[in-house]
Amino acid sequence: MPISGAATGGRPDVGGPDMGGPHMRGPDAVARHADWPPRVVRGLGALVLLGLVVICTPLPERFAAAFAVHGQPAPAEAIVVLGVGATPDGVLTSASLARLVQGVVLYRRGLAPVMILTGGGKESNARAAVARDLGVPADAIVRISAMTTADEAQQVRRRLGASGEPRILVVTNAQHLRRATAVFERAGHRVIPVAAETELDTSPGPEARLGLLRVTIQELFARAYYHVVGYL
Amino acid sequence: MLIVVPVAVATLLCWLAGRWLLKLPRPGWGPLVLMLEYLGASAAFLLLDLLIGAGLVFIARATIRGFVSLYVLGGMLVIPLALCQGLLFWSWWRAARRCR
Repeated sequence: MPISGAATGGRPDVGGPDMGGPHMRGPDAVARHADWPPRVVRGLGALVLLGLVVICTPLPERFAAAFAVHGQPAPAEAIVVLGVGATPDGVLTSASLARLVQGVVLYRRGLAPVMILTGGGKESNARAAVARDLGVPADAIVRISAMTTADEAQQVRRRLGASGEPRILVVTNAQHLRRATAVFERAGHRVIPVAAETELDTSPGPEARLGLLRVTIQELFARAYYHVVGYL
Repeated sequence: MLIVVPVAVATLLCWLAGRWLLKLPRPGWGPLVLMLEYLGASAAFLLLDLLIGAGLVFIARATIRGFVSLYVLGGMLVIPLALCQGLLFWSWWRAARRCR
């Protein structure tokens, strides 16, 4: 005999396997069972709406600032400008250009005799050309083709020689600096972190905050990944 | 922030047009709940898209010689695509629920 919600005193889902199996559950239970996806998606939708409200406040900047590093430049053996990407035609992205300009500024202040430019082949070539145009001598520029922060750290270490702990200025964006510093220190460098500011760090609009939030969350996932695979 | 003002004005104009020109009844909470469902379904698709994308990147890293960066998943195109997926799937779901 089927057990309905009414027959079980308002507990429609009491029909367990020993009472005839799930097909004996009441219609209310079935409806309730089918109701959870709408509740979950409504909750997710409410979170999206809340996110839209949050990016109109300074909260994302505070969240990003909690994970950012801003170093103080000091003399070193080399300036390492980490790669971030270029278009397939070899045009530098704004983030790549911001890091490069910061590196050139450090070089022209006389903080290191060598500037190491990392990234994919096209990116490091394009950066080297821009650095030369900005007054960095060709013999002070070292190009390294590396695609990940861990790879960059290993290759820079090899290039600077195996003896001692070379002191280097590492230039990247503020959110990436903490992971980059840890990875380079683990590879045997003494790191002076230097943040390259981008438009995300300086413009207070909702779109910039959304970008900042995206970069920060992306970086948190990257850190988790580096912990899992043992780079950190 | 300025964009919030025209969005609010356009919403208000739309409500007035619906009420006075199209003679629509008062909307109640239904459309808002529907919007939350579409947004939520789209957010779920966005997460799923990124998860599948990350899986494909790791498979590509393991199987081909060239390096594939996870940053390829960072493009903004995935957002409008996820909105389309959410709209399609949720419309289908709702139609099926109404037929039951």
